[in-house]
Amino acid sequence: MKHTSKPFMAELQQARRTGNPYQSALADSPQPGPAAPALALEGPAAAPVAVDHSEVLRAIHDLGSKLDRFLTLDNNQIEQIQVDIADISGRIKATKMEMAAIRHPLAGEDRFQQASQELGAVVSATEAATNSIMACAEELEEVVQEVKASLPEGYHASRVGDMNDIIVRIYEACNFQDLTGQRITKVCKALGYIEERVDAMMSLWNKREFESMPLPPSTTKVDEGLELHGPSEAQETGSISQADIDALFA
Amino acid sequence: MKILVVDDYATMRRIVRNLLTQIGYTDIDEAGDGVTALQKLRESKFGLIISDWNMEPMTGLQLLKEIRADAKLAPTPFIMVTAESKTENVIAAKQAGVNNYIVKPFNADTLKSKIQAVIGGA
Repeated sequence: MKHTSKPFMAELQQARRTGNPYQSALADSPQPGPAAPALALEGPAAAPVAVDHSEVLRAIHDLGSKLDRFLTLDNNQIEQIQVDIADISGRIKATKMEMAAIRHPLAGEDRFQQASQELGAVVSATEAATNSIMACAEELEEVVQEVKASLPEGYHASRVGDMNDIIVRIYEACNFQDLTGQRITKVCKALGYIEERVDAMMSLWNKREFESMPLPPSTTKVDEGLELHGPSEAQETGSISQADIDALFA
Repeated sequence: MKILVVDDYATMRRIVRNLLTQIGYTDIDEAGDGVTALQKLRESKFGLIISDWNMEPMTGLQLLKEIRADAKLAPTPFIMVTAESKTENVIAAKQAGVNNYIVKPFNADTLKSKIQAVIGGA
């Protein structure tokens, strides 16, 4: 490759001071092959120096064009990033609103706890009902055995025997309690897991942010200004026993 | 023949007990978990164990393995009565030495036939 070198201003000034004509370092060193054109300043130091600036100007111009393109592109990207950030911000806000709707720090009712309690009550109620059905079937079984033992062989004894088969079917049907109990327990565990995750997500943010959000609407049905809560446990606050109701009507 | 019914649900133990009575087995004892069951098995001789799987603190499978690892208890027939119906569960129970497997819900006929298959009749 042809190697050309232009003199630095310092080199030219030195040549001027010493009175020696400027000679490129390349010209001093032996070059392989054809002799490289030596850029030397011939003549006395006062001779005008011809310097070609066109290449430098072209390079500056190219650099300027590149910078313009870069700045224009960067501006577009910055705008896009701003749009993206605004979008993310909107989504975070919406997510927070949803989280607050699930578990608002100032909400009077804890929906997760409420759901778990309701399901627990279902298990207890079905268990109690199953035990009651079983107890009745067991009593019936005793009666059937007694009657069967007192009857002579024949139509009536046979029909009493059929009753015994029906009692077995009642026992079999009571299987449901164990299965529904297990399924509901699984649902309660899943609810507990979701509750933990929601709490963990909310703990990532400032609790006060959620407090300032609107309270979620109540899911309790209202009839003529009266809330309809459905079945409740006897010990639940605000509940009244049948005995107390009877006392009111006495 | 004395039968030990192991289940953490009292209602379920009651159901199994009543069904067993209906099909002719009256010598029945109950345990609410695997640990109590092991204790009872070591105190008295049982001809059959009917156990649930999903119990705390010792599961039915752990109880089965404990029984099979105990030279004295190992020959006792063991029927698993459970809601667990995944193939891998049944295989695991079989590999652990279960004699038969009943998936809930079940009826008296199923219980009777499985008992007969294990011990050969009442």
